[in-house]
Amino acid sequence: MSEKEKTGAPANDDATPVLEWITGVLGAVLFAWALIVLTGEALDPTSPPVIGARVVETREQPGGWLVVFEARNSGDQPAEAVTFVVALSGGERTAVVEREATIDFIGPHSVRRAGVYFSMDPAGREIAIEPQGYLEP
Amino acid sequence: MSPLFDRKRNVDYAVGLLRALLGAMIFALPLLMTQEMWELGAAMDRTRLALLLALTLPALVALSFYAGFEKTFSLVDNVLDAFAVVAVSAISCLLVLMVFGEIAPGMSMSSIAGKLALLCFAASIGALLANKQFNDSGAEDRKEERRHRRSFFWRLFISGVGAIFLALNIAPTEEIEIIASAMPPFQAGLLACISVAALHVILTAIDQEEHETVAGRFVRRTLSNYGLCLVLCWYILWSFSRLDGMSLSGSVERVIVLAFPAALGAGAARLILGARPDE
Repeated sequence: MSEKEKTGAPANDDATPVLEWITGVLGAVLFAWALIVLTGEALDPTSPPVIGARVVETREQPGGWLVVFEARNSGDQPAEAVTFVVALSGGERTAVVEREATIDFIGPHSVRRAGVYFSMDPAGREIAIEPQGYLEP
Repeated sequence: MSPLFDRKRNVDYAVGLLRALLGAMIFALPLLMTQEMWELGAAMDRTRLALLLALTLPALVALSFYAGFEKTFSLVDNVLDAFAVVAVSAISCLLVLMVFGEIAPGMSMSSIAGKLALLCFAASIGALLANKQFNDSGAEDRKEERRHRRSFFWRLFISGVGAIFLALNIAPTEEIEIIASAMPPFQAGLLACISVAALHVILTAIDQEEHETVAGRFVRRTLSNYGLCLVLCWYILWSFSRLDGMSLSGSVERVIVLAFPAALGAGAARLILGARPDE
């Protein structure tokens, strides 16, 4: 471009440096990819959020135990303010201990992690995670 | 040596790309660090987002003609530069969002494409304006550009870019809805009057036209700019589904609220683009 600037003459395509062609083509590919993905999804019928959850790990911490779970939205639409109840049952105590957690946002076909605290060791007990509901963004 | 592989030309172009990268980050970082933008990218209506993306390209080509990150002389040059800033913006937004953990393994292709498409728009404007911001090429270039700047439609186009730039930073937030719902109709009307007055003062201060009366300037420049702001704000809010299910009066109030910063952006657009008051 520097030569073009000096001469101020109209440029022909041959005067375009190879780097300009490379970045231009890369941008065109990225642009086309995004447009195809978005248009394809716009034309497809979409399913509402389908929320599921599974325990990823339990870890002892000062004053209790942390249960980390992974929430997956396998639907085609996002979910906001997704609430979960995590219930700990079985073992020596018969009472079910419940904790609530809220994940701000889970995109379509995406996963998010959250954690809840218990004062007892979850080992040997059953952990049930139940999604309660969501808001449409 | 073929101009295609000329070392100096390629190095110059690489420097231009770095400038574009810097411009993209300065313009897009506030949006990249806004939660609502991440969510909108994943949740936005796909038809509206695809339309926004499709409209981005001609706007970038036109902006490249006016203020690209390097000098351009042909339509092919401008189209190449528009795609080049898309590449720079997409890659830089992708890297930043990956560092922030907003793009991660397990995320759907649609969410990634949506976030990048939305954030790339602002980043691309920044990348194209980089030349004006970081490489003022001097009086000769400014002389060359004056002819275009005098054109009514070019001025309107640049005002639109400024309006979009400021409105985009605010439109995704819930505050638009909160402010609009808290205002009685007469206050919304007052805000519209304040917006028009502010726009008129800025336009008069930075861009004095000889042989033009105050009334003429007000009608020809201020009202046309404010009208453009209203249309653009409506389009942005509609794209973000912020007007869905709203009554006409509620929609108008939201548009007026967003048009306030948009009007300031439209007025200051030529300052943002590095224009001089005497031009």
